[in-house]
Amino acid sequence: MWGGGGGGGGKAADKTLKIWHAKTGKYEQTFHGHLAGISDLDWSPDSLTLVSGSDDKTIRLWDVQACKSIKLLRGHHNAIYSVSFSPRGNIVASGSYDEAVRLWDIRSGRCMKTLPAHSDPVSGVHFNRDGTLIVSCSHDGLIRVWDVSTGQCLRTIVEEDNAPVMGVRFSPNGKYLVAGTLDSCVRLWDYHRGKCLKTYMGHRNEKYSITPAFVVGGGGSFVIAGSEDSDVYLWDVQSKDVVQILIGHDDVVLGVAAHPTENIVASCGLDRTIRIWIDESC
Amino acid sequence: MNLSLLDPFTLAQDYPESLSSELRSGHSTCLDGTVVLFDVETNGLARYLRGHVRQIQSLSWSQDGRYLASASQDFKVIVWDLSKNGEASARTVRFNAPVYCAELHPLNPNLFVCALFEDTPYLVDITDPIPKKYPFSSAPKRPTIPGAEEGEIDEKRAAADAKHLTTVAVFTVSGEHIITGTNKGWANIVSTRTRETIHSTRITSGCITYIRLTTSGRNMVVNSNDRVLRSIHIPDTLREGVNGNEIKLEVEHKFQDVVNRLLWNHCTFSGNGDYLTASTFKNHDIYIWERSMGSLVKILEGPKEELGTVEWHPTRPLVAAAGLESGKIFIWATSNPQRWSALAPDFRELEENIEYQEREDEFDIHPKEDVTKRRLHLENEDVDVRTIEPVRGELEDSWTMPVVLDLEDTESEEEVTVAGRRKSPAVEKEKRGGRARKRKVDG
Repeated sequence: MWGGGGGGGGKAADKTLKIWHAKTGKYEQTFHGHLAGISDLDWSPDSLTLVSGSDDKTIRLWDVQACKSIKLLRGHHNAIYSVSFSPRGNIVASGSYDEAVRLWDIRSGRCMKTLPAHSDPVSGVHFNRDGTLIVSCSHDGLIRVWDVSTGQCLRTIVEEDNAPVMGVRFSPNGKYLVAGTLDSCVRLWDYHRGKCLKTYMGHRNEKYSITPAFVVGGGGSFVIAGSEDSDVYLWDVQSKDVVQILIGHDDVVLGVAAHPTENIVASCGLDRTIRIWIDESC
Repeated sequence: MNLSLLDPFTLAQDYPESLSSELRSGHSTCLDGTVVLFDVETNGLARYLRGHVRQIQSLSWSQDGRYLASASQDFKVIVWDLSKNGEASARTVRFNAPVYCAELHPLNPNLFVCALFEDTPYLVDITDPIPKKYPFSSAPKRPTIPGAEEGEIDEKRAAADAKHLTTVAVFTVSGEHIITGTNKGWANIVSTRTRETIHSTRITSGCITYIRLTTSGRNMVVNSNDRVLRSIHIPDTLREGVNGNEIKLEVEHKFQDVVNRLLWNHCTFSGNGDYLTASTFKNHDIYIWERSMGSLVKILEGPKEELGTVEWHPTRPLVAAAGLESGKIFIWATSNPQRWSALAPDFRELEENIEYQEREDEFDIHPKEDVTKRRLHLENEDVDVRTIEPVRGELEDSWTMPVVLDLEDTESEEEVTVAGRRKSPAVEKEKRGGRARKRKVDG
């Protein structure tokens, strides 16, 4: 995950969070507090707060500058799978193995809403650009779009084969969704019409939770995802062609994150490394 | 961005119907002068603003929601810069009398107008470290009678005019003029630049207690203690340099309860100006009228207590009112039931049974690879994941309030009844185009 001003964050199954400087690769700090492994984290819009979801059923908010845990959000009945900050920074959404999506008022630490979202673990949650919608996805093969103010389901998207969905994100302008499924496909959906517009293939994803991401920092628009063949794949949004394969990791690549404005990508994987990829052509 | 996905029938309902939630801050009825910001998205506390020591009389947001002016009985007006926190956020201006109301200039947050208790109204410029206070007159502008000599009548009139006291002052939407109301029922239009009264009209015989403009600035409502709300059309000719004699303020509609003769505590317009809402003195109801026709459309019920300030969300059909006894803030909203077809994409909600028409090739068997191949071939639509298309009715935020996480814990449930009734604790929604996300309540 990218922080503002080029700070990068890492997550680990050893119950800690670590922050490195994205440009220099310098290690900056470690957060201790969770009692079990951490599945997901997200930066607040002002990059002063981090949110992390852990297998100890809690979500923690961290003050990045003071390097300490400032809020503990309890309520989920099972391990946390995914977390996301709203663009205004006042709400955190979380998806859990208890099959629910919860919305949290981070100022009070209170759970605002519990959405009975899915019938399997919720593998991904993400806010759209203006914070009015949330998308959630689950191993049950469904992608659901929710209204934040009412907590109601507005759309459900399902692919015919019903393959477990491992991660979902809104496009930067909020018009589309990109979702990774365990049939080794990444799909771009128009959620207004419930129609799949593009299918990106070539990588392998049959087992692990791999979330695709958009790369729009430079000139073009790309979709990026890790792969179980230990490479990182970069597709052109329009033509669906694989434009680049980043080779370097020694094991499955789980997470990818794109820099918000520059053509820089970070990836992490089961080989316990984080790699930063910079497009030097521009 | 969610508008395109919502049920059009739900969106067509443009005024609230039922009580949906209550908000309270531990001490929202205390008279200690704390301003509390609530987040409308989370229904939670967003910020405490401490600086006043007595009851707050009015609150006013700047256009972008970054600045907030609060006027209090403690002789102070504070302009808060919400991008800052703590002491640095407050800019205090002291006066020699309790302040009835203060309103920020619509374009310049360093300028505000305020009306004081038994004192002249002031236009205040806080650009410099020492605020500049410009008093202006409360006396109405009388038409000069041609041929009349300086004489006895004018002296009498001057003595009567000197008794005029401004009770409320607001800016027009362009900020070029100030509209004031006096205790004798006159409305004066004052030029912001010269601070001279350019026009005066007698609206009522009672004391004007409140004036509110619509967001568009084309209409205003005047509340007075003669138990009538008057909606007034503001002429388009009201611009910089206009000749005051050409302006005419005419009452469009009078809103009153003829049977019960209710006194109105507070009144406001809906975000688009289509509806007028008022809370009632010694009564539990909130009245909603259609402004252009003058017809009553709804009486909101709910809490069994008198309600003070009432406010309408700038964009959504949402009404908030402050309860005078419990100190809670009550929110009325529209009800929008879950559409079941949204939960399963292949389901449709039907009004009546329809005969199913089977497609010619519906049960044909094709090899799976062929189907997939054909489908992938059809994925040739142009997609643009970057361009942000502006949607009608959804405005971009120009400024976002920083989230303050270390709010002090003040969950004391003190029950204190409000003593002063005429000016009740003010509740006001953020006055901005986008989704309002904070509400403020005075202590």
